[in-house]
Amino acid sequence: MTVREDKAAEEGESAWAGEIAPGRAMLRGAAAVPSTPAVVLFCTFIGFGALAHETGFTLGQALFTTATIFALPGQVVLADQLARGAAISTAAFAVMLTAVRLMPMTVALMPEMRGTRARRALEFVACHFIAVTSWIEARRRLPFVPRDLRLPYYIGFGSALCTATLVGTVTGFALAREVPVVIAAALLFLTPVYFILSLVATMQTREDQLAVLLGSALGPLLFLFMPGFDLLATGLIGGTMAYAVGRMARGEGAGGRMPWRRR
Amino acid sequence: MATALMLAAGAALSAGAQSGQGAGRAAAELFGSGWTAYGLILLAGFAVTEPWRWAGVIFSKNLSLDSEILIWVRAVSTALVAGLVTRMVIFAPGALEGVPLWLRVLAFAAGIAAYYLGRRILAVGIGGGVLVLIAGQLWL
Repeated sequence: MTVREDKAAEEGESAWAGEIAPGRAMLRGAAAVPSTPAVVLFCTFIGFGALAHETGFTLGQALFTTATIFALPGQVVLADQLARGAAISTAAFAVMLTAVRLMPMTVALMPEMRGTRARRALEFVACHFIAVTSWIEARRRLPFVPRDLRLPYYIGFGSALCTATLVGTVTGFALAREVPVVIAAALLFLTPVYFILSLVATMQTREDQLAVLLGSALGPLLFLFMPGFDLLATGLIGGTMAYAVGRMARGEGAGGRMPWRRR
Repeated sequence: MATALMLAAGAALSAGAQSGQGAGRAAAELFGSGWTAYGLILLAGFAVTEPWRWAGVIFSKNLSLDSEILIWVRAVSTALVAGLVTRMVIFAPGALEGVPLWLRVLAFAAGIAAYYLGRRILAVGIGGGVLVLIAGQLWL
């Protein structure tokens, strides 16, 4: 994000004076959704809607997938695996591997949302909205929200963002049928470009870098040798190799972290 | 920038092994429009995704983010998604399959280059890649 937008976020959230009801905090969270990351996310869900259409989902199934999973990598893996005729167990395992990352993200975010009172039930509601974009945005915005209002604020923000992705899904599904083939191809192209950019944007360690490189190279190759099991194998082989090399580098005192990385 | 070049090279290397396989239409048969389809999505989607969020809420009081197992998990899921990305470019689904392979790879590399050249703004990278793909198709 640009510096200017950061300032805008700060000024926008700084007006929290006086008593504010949780309901108002929720509305403010929802009102915070229109932003560059949300527009990008909306466009990528147009891509998912188009992909779901191309892989034989009905509109209802595509919407159900977006609403229940709300994590684009898992959704795309699910659509892809089912379209290619993988066994349900293989598809489920591949989706699970993409979803494991949600746990450390939730672990990192939840303490920031805890107020003075324990509200476990609300925390389990809020955590459904944790996915890459909402997580990045929450880390940026929550510090400006009073502690006790963060949970309702995030629930408002998350449900509005989820609504935007549902609208995106419908839009993409409808467009895939109507638009010229040049545009339909571009819609399907949104997903891989968005994914690779969010991967390189969040690369922090040598493990991350190696995992991106090895995964990119192994994905298409393993698809030729073991279709159906290729994504799992790519993740397990590429990820483990990246982890092993990164660990060796850390062991040698190289630090593993990349000090020249900004942020 | 070096990473962008390496990525492009990796995609080009894997592109050497292209075959004519496209996205199947098995989902239509597998799914149908009945309630079983929704059950399958719940089973292979929701049931393997949401528990990780719940676990995050439960463990958020006492789990170190630097633990070795989490570093490994992060590497595995990163490699899996990266593999899915290059495979979607090379063995493209649906309408994208009609675009020549070289143009898909070029547009993909252009998106990464635009991201790095455009001060690492996500919208610039995505816009650049999509523009090259559309312009290339119109020019052909």
